[in-house]
Amino acid sequence: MTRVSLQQWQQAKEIFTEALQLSDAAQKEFLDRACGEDTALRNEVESLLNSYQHAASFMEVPAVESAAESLLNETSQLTPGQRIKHYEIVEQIGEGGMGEVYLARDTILGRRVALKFLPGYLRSDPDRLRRFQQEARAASTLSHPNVCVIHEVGETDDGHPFITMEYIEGRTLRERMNSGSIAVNEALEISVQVAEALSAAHEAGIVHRDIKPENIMIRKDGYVKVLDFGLAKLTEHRKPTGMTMSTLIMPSSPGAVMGTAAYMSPEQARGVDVDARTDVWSLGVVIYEMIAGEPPFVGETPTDVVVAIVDREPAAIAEHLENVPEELERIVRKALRKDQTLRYQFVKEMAIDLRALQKDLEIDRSTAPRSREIGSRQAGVRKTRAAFERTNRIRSLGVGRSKSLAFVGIAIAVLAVISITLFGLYKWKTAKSPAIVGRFQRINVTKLTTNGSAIYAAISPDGKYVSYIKSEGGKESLWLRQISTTANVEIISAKDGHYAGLMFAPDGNFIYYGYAAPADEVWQIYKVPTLGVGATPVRVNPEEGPASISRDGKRMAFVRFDRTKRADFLKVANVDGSNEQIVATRSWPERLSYDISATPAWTNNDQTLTLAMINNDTAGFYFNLYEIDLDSRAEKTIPLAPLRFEQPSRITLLPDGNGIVTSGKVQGASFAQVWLLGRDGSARSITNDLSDYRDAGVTDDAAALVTIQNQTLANLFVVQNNDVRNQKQITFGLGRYFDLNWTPDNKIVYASDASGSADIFEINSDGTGARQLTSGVKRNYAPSVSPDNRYIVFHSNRSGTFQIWRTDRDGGNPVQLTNTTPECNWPTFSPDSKSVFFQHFEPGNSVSLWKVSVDGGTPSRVSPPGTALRPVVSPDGKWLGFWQNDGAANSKWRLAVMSLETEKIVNRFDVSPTVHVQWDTQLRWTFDSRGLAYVDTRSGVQNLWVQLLDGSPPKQLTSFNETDIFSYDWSRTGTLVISRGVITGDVVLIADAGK
Amino acid sequence: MSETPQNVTQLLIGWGKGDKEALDQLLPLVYDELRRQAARYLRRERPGHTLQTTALIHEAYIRLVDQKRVQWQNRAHFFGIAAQLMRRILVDHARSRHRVKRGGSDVRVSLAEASLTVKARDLDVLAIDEALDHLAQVDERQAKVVELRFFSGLSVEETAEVLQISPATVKREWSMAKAWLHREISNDQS
Repeated sequence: MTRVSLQQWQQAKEIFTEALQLSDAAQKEFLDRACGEDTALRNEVESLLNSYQHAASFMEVPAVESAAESLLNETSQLTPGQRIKHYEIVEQIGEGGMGEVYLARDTILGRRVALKFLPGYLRSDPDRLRRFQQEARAASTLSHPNVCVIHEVGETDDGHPFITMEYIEGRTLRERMNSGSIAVNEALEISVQVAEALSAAHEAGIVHRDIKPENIMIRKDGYVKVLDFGLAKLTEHRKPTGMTMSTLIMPSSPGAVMGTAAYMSPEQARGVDVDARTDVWSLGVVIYEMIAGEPPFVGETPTDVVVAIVDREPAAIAEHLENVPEELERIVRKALRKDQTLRYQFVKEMAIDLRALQKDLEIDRSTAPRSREIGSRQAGVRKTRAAFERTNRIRSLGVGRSKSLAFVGIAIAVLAVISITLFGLYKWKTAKSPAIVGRFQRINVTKLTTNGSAIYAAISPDGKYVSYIKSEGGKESLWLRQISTTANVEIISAKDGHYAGLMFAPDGNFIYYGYAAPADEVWQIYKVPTLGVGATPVRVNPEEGPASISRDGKRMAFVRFDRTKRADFLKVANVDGSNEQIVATRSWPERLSYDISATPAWTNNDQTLTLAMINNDTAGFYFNLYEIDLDSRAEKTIPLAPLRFEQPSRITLLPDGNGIVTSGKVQGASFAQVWLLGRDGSARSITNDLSDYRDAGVTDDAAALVTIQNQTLANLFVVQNNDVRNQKQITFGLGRYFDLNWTPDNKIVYASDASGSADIFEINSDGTGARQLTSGVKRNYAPSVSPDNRYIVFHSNRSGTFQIWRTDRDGGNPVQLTNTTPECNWPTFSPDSKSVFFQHFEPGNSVSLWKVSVDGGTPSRVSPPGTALRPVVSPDGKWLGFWQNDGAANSKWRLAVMSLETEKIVNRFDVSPTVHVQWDTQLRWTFDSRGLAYVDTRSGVQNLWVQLLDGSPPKQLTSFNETDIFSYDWSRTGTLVISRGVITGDVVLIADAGK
Repeated sequence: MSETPQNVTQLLIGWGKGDKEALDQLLPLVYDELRRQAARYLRRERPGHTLQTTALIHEAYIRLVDQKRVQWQNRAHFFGIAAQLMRRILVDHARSRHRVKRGGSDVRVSLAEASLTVKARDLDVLAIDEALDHLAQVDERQAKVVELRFFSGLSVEETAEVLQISPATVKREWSMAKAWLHREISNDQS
C-alpha cells in the first residue's frame, strides 16, 4: 500500500464517487478532465473503479453470523436445587433418546413441572430446532384433559432450549402392560381417552406421529395422559426420500428401536408423508397389544417388523384371547387398514365407536348407574371465570357478566355436537363474506410471556414490539417486549391502581393507556414514549379513558360512562385534549362500550368510528357492530346475528377496512375467543380452543395479533381447624370447582364446567365418589342443599335466563322456582328447608334479595332499599348475611346481618378496601354461626378473613401465601373445604401463517 | 445481572462525556452480553439467513442499559461500541478457527466447516480486519462505516443514524471502502 496524503485521498474519493455515476464512455472523458496531468491520481481512481467492478458481492453479507455460530455451548447436568429461570430442579427423572427430563418446581406458580432438555445432537441443527420449537409451541396451545400440558417452550439464559410440561405421577402404559394383562373394559377406557386426546390434537392440526405405550401415562386415578405431541417430528428427517424407517435413526437402545418400529404406520415405514391417519394406525396397534398381549406386527429385527407392517395382515385378536367382542375386532381391523383411505378417517370416529362399545358392554353388565359415575374425570378443564372476574374488576357493566360464566367439557359427544353446530354456522356465514376470507385461516401461535400474570397487551403497528400490563402481588406494571428477541423492559414499574386500554400511537412512537389510581373510579389517559427515553408518562386529557388514537395521530376517541345520567357518550377530541365533542349518546341499558378497555376503531381515512355496541333483550346482553360517520353523524348498526356475542374487547379494523378483530364470547360458548368479524356481519373465530382469550390488538399489515390467553388450574383441599399446614388435597389435575356447599350428609356439592356445560356435582370429602347431578347443555351454578337433605337449589339458564331451580337431592325432578327478569342467582335455604333466599337483578341494574317458597309461587323482597348481594343463612338458622351498599355511586360495600325472625338488619360491618365485592363475591358463615367469612386480597394473595358478630376487628383465618381462592365452605363440624389454584394470563402472538 | 444495568448506564454516560476509562470497563460487559445474545440468536435463525444484528444489539442494549437515565444519542454510542465489539468477536473467532485449520491439535472440525466456512468467510474476516486498520489511518469515517455495516450488520440508515451523517454519504463511503478493501485484499493474496 502506498501512503497517500489526506488531500490526495479526498480528491480520489470525489472523483471516484462522481465517476461511479457515469457510463464507461462518459467515465473516461470525465477522468481525463478531472485528473488532468496527475497520473498517480488517475491510476489510483482507475484501479479503485476496476476493483469496484469485482466487488459487487464483497462484504455484502455481514460477518456476524459466523461468529455467533462459534458461541454455542453444551449444557451440563443439572443438580437438585439448581435454578433454570424460575424453575428449581428437584431431581432427574429421565434420560433417553429424547434428552434429559427433570422434576422441577415452578417457583412462581408453586407447581411441580417436568422439565425436558433436548439432547445435544439434535440441538446443533438449527433448522430442526426451529421446527421442534414450532411443534412444541403448537402443542402447548392444546388444552385437553388427556393431553399432557406443555407449559412453556423456553431457553436457558445461555441458550439451551427446553420445554416444561405438566408433571404426571403414574406409570406408562408400557409399565402397566408389563405388570399384568389388561381386561377389555380397562383397555377400552384407556383407548377412549387416548382417542379423545388425539382427536383434540388433530382438530388443532397437530399429528402425534409416535403413539406408543411409552408415550401414554396412566395416573393413579385411572386418568390417561398422552405425552410428547409433535415431538416425534424432531427425530424424523425432513424429506426422507428413498429412505425407509425414518424414525429408526434415533440412537437408542435396540429395544426402544423395536418399540418404535412396532407402532409405525405403513406410510411412516415407507418414509412418505404422513397425516392424522398415522395416529389412527398406531392407536390400533396399541389397542391390539393391550388386549392380545403382543403387538400385531412382530419380527426378529426392526426390518422384519417393518416388512410385516407393510405386507402382512395381522392375526385376529381372537387368536390370542377368547371372548373378544367382535365389534372390538372390527374397530382394530379398521384402524389397521394399510390403505389410509380405508382406515378411520378421523380418530374421532374411532373414539365414538370405542365409546359406544364401552357403553354396550356396560349395559351388558347391567351396571349403568343412574347418575353418571365420573371418578375424577372432571379434572383437566381449564379456565375462565376468574379470568373474566379479573376483567370484571376493570368494571363498568355490572350486570352483563352474570351471563359470562363460561365452561368447557370433556363429554366429547356433547362437545362434538356443539362444535359441529357452531362450525357449520361459521362456515355458512363465512361463505358469504369475502371480507374475512383469507386472513388468519392458518395461524402460528407463540407465547410471549410465561409467568401467567399478563392482563392486557398491544402490538406496535410495525409488529416489532408488544407492550403489556402485568399484574403481580396486587400491583400492576407496564412492559415492553421486542418480539424478535426476548428483551423485556419495564416501562412503568409496579404500582397500585389499574391499567387498561393499551394502544400504540399510529407512528409507533408512543404507547397510550388508561390508568385509574387506587380507589379511584376515574380513568385518565396517559402516554409514554415507546423506546429509549426515560420520560415520565404524560397525562393527555382530563377526561375518562382509555382512548383510541386516530390514524393521523391527531385525534382520539373514547367512551365516557356517565353514572348520574345513566348514559354513555362517545367523544372525539384532539390528542392534547382540546376540542372535545360528543358524537353519539346512548342511554343505559344500551351501551357504547362493554368496559373501559373496549375502545373504538378509526377507519383508515379517520372518517368513521367502529365500536361494539351493547344491546339488551330478555336473553341478556350482547353486542353488535356500530359505525358512525364523523362528518355526517350517520349511524349504522351491523347485526352479528344469528350469533350472539358478549364481552367484546377493543375493536381493531384490518387494513382493507372490511375486517374487524376483537375478542368476544359467543353466548353459550365456553370461552371468549379472538374473532374476525366482517362489516357484512359475518364472523369467524381465529382461536378455537379451551383457553379464554381477552383483548386483541393487530399490526398495521394484519400479519399478526397479540391477545391474552387465560387458563385456570384449581383443586379442592380439605383443611382441619383452618390450619392450612394441615391441608389435604383431595382432587388432582386441572380442575375448576366453584360454589362449594358442604351437605348435611357430609359430601361436598359444587358447580364445575367439566361436562361440556356448567353442572352440579358432588364428591365425598376424601375426594372419592364424584358424581354428576345435573346434565344438559345449559349452565347450572350455585348449588345449595336443603338442611333436610331433600333438595338442591341452584341457578340455571335452562329456561333462557338465569333463574332459581330445584331438584331432588340426586339431581332428579327439576322444578323452576322463579321466573322474574332479568335474572335470579345464588339461592340459599331457610333453616326449615321451606323457603329459598336468592339474589335478584332487577331491570335497571339494581340488585336485591328475595325469597320464594321451596314449592314455587310469588317471590317477595326481603332486603331493604339499596343493593344487596349473595345471601347466606347462618347454620343456627338465626341470621341472613349478605353484602350491602346504599346504592349510590361509589358507596361502600358492607357486610349486613339480618335477623330472620324480624327481617330487620341488626348489624353492619365495614370491610377493608382490599375486599373486592362484585356480583358473585362469595360469602359464608363460619360453622359455629359466629361470623361471616370472605376473601380478602392483600398484596395479591387471597386469604379467608372473618367478621365476628361481636363486632371485633376482622381476623385472618387462613395463611396462604400464594394462589387464588375460588370457593370455600365449612362442614357442620368445622372442616373447611376450599377450592384454590391459579389463573394464568399470558401474552400470545398469533401470526397469520397465510401471509 | 442485577447491578449490571446500573454499571453500564453509568459507564455509557461517562464515556459520552469523554471518560476513556469508561470504555475499557464497558467493553467486557457488553462483550459478554453480545455473546449471550449471539448464541441465542443463532438458534432462531434459519441457515443461510442473515443474523439480524441490529436486533441483537438492540436486545443487548435493552438488557444492559437503564433507558430512563440515558439520552437518545447514547444509543448511537452504544451501537458504535457494539460494532467495535462485534468486530473483535469475529476476528477472535476467525483466528481461532484459522489456527484449527492449520493443524491446531485436538479440536474437531467438520469437513463442511473446515472447507467452507474457514476458507471463505473467516479468511475474509481476518483480511478485512487487517485492511480496515490501514483504511482507518487514511479515512477513519470510512472505516467506521465498514465496521458498522460489515461487522455489525447495520443498514445504511442505521449506520447514518449512528454516525450522524446522511444515508447518501454512507452509501458513497461504503462504495469506496468496498473498492479499496477489495483491492487491498486481492493484492495481498496474489
